[in-house]
Amino acid sequence: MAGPPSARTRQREPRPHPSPYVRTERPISPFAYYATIILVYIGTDLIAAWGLNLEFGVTGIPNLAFIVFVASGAYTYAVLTVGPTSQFGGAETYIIGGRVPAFVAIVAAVVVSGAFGALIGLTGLRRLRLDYQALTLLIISFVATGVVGANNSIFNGLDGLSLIPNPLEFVAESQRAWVYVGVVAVLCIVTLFLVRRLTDGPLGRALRAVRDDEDAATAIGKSVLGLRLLVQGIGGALAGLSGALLAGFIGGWSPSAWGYLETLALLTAIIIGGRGSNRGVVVGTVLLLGAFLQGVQYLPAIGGRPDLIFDFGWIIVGGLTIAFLFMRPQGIFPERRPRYAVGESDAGGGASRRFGLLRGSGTPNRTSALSADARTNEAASSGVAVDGGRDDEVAERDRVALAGVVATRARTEQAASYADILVVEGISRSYGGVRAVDSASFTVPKGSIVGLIGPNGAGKSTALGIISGFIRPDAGSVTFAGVDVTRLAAHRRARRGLVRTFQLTREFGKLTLLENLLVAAREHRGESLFGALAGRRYWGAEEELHLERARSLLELFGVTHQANKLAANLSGGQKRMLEMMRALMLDPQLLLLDEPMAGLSTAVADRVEDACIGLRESGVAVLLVEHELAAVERLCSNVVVMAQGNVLVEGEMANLRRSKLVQEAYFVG
Amino acid sequence: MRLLIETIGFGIFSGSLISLGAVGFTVQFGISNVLNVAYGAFITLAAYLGYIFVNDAHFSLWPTIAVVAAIVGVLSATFNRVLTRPLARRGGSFVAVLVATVWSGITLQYIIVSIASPSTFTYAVPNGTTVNIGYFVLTSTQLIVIGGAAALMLLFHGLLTRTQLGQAMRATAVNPVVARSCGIRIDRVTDVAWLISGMLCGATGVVLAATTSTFDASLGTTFLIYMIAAAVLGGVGQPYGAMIGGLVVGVSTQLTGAYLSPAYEDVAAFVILVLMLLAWPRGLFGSAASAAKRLAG
Amino acid sequence: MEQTSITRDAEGTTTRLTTEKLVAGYGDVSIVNGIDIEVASGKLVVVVGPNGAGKSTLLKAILGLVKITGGEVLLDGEQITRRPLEDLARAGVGYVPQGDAVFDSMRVRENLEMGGYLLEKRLRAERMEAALELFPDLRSKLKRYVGTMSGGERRMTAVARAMMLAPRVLLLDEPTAGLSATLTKAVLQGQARMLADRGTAVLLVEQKARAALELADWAYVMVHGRVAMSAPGRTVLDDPEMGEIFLGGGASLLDSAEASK
Repeated sequence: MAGPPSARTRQREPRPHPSPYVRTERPISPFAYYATIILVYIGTDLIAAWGLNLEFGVTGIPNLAFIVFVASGAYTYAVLTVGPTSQFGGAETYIIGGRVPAFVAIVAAVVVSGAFGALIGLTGLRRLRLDYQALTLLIISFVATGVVGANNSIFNGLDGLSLIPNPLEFVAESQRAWVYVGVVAVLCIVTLFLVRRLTDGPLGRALRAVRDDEDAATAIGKSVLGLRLLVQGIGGALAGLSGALLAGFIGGWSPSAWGYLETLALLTAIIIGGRGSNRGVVVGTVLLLGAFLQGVQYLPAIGGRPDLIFDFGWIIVGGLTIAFLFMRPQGIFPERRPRYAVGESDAGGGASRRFGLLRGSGTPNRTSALSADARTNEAASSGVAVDGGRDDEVAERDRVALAGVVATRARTEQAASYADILVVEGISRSYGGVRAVDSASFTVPKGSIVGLIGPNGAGKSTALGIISGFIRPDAGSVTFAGVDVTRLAAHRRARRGLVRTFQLTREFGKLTLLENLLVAAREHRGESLFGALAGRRYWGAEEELHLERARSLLELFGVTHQANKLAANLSGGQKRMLEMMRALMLDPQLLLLDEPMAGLSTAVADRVEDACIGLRESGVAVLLVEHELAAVERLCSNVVVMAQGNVLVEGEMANLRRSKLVQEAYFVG
Repeated sequence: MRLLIETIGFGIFSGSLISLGAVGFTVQFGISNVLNVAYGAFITLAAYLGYIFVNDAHFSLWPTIAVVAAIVGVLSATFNRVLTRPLARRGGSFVAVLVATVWSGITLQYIIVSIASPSTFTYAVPNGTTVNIGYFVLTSTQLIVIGGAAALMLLFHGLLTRTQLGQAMRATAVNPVVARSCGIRIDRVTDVAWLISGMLCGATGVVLAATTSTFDASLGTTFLIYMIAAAVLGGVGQPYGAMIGGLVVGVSTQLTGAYLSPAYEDVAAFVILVLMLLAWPRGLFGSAASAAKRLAG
Repeated sequence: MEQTSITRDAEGTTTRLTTEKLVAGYGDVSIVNGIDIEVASGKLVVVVGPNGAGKSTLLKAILGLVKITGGEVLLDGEQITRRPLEDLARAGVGYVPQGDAVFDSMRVRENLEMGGYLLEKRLRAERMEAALELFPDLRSKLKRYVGTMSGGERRMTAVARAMMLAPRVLLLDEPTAGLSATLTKAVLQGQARMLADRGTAVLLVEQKARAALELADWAYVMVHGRVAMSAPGRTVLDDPEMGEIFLGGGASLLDSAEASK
């Protein structure tokens, strides 16, 4: 591990007698000496960097304490392999000394660091803000160095441990260093292989979803905490492996050699290489930690100041890094997302004819000159043809297609004993004395669309949050599909088929549109640790099924041609459709739509409306929060009006529209 | 009893220095949302600049502090204008800006080392006489430092509350849009905030170096951790929180050193800190503003 | 009237803020689609409309806070399109944003002082006196931290703060959001209407249409980023279709508005 500054870190220059060369009868050439050290450093740094990239680059955890796990792996290896204290006399005061076989010690290092990593991962439990999380971990890193440095009975204080046996003691000494390089190289390849399985399949997709938007990931049934702990466990394990390999090679371990700035060096390598890209990490690590930081340490001394070249090395590295951050903030190899074939992906054509049609007249009787040109704008920007023309056959086909994609659970539910898929009873929630929702009760019958309307601040969004599990109610209960889910975590509700969308669209920006759908697939077998490691052969068939469903949805919503575009680059309307399609991928029984038409052009709003009708006909229930009341009237058999946290009245929209009570509530605001 | 009071006395001394530095650090975060790790290197820079003035130019300590504070202040403001602000405007993430400050700090530190040589340095200043106040035993320099830090802090408090500029700084940190609608040019206010925080940094660096027996180029990097701890303890971005946080860190490290083991001096304070953070994730003073925001939203 | 008026300039000239075919929005989505409005000294002009009609975005466009893709904003005939907010404050355009329009962690006095940041000391004191005359309730609360005050008091502080620069035009973005019905009346009557009566040009964007329309000299009803109706407040209020518009999106009204052009 290469070390940035601080006088302490410089102690990390190889000790005078690193173990591969101890008692060497024929001294090896200086070239071999330097080359093997640099190569082992690069290899162990790479393993650590992949681990940190998994945490920071892929999952978004700013783990500034990462180096602690490397150090703990190194210590575990050291303390398990060296003999008891007495063996070395006075210098070593620690009490443990295992003398276990090196291989066992390495495995133990991996396990200990992994467990330690997951444990520290629990700090994220409190949902600390990103900056506080970063700072807390930074301080943990510092504390660790201090604790270890201060403890003589276990860690031997700042002196650390030395004369740690090399795991390859059975190899002839003259060849040991090179064999060690080979072993590290093999382990690097194995690590890369495993890491790629974790980051490139369905699991990696879910992790990136967590990184891009925690709440949205929860809403599609991902356990954010679970995934984080998993990642911090794996990251810790890789750190442990890296540390054990390094300690075994250099034969020494000391707490100050793994200072907090080391983590920042690794982070820099990742950012230079490209956050989230395993390939980028290789380039970043070799470039920064290998060539720059290690390289300069072995340059020959010049003049009367042998230290100067070393200092200049740091100055150059620092300057280059800063210049790099300015010129290419996304890194050398920015994260690349997989492209999928999407079949008939020509823009307008077949795709756009769909879903414009379920509505009776499809043509603009309520669309004024304004919406007509809005349509044209939308059509021009999204490449979707506007005009459909009525075609019952196509409409029927669309319905069948939609039912095939999303309604499998809803169909099996038809026979269930309960009449209402959702029963909300007396839910309340106040914020700082203001009652946002005040004992509101209503129901959603199976397979129906219920509207939830009311002026701004009526408590609709809070109610939606309570139903979906994002907001804990002060009182009341939520019963979904006959089961009381009031205490159930949000992601568990989503998995059961109670799925919400967000008012302000929350796409996973650095995934493609298609991936945004795929990541929502329920119980994907490739998302477990085992499944991810088992590889595509294990989950590939299932992936194909989800891909098929995702493609159908894209086609039904007429956005097939955007499938491989990064979600962040989609238009506002397309992001709204993404929200809805993503929710549908979960095969919901009840869909909670939070203003799905807000800010949409009429053409796109129509498509959303058609999808709602299709869902109803497929047996999926919808609770629709929407301000576009004309649409609510067309869609909903029953409409619940909320005002000031209460349910004011409910009934058919046509009647509500005439109700003075409702008009007044809206008008007064 | 005597030990306790002596320890607290020394804790207050070291705490007042930490506070002084932490206020500058936290002001930068509050106004620009930047965790400036290079702040540690600026402390080091101040220490070396002070060394030149004191040992080579034979200035006495107090004018040195003033001159160095001014120099580091200007450098700090320039640093923000040239590096952190443009990087953040180019869409650099929080972590990317953090990493940029890390490397700026490293670069600066090694520029200093390459010019000054890696050996250790000592200020040629008198230690001051030992003063006993009740059980408190401190040197006169230490007492002046405590007094001076308190005075600077009061001055800073006055600046924040009594002057227009200080108010504008607070306003910009609290609500930039409304600040702009008052006609405040928030970029300029931010410049001034970095200037002032740099001055605090400069003063801290000189005093720190003058009161340690010897120092080298890692002085600031090590001290940075204490300042971060103080800032986090008080709620990042909260100057008053940082003042209190600094004292807490200073006194608790000294107490642990005296009663547990000198080796655990640093550790205990940080353990307390981490535990506290787990209990109050936003720090001691971090909750008021967010609570108010929740009320209004 | 007091010697120092912060609601009317000395010469009693009329100020006029207008927008011409203003188009603005976020990213590639335009929320405001070609708006012409006008507000002049001594008038309370309100912009009402259903949720999502683009009312707040219109204000932000005037202030250069969102991307303007077409049209212009004029202050007494002078181009102020896309001008930075701090320059607009100097030019006499006051703004009270929606929600947290105050400095929570500062005292009322400090909030007002911030409002008068650009002024020299003596003038600032005079202005503060004038602001307190407009809002006498604040006088006894000068030392309170705004974060600890009630919703109504906070809004009052926000508007008083904006008045410190004696703006020729004051833009208010939903000053009554989250307030009770009684308080809403008090805020609109005691702040928006009162300031207009004293000579300031007030442009008020308001969700609570009825209360706003009752007080307005002129009203624009916005639907889908366009002006669907432009008439005196009373006329809009008495329009039988209004309840319908707020519930139904007002497409028919838009059509007739477009047709009449």
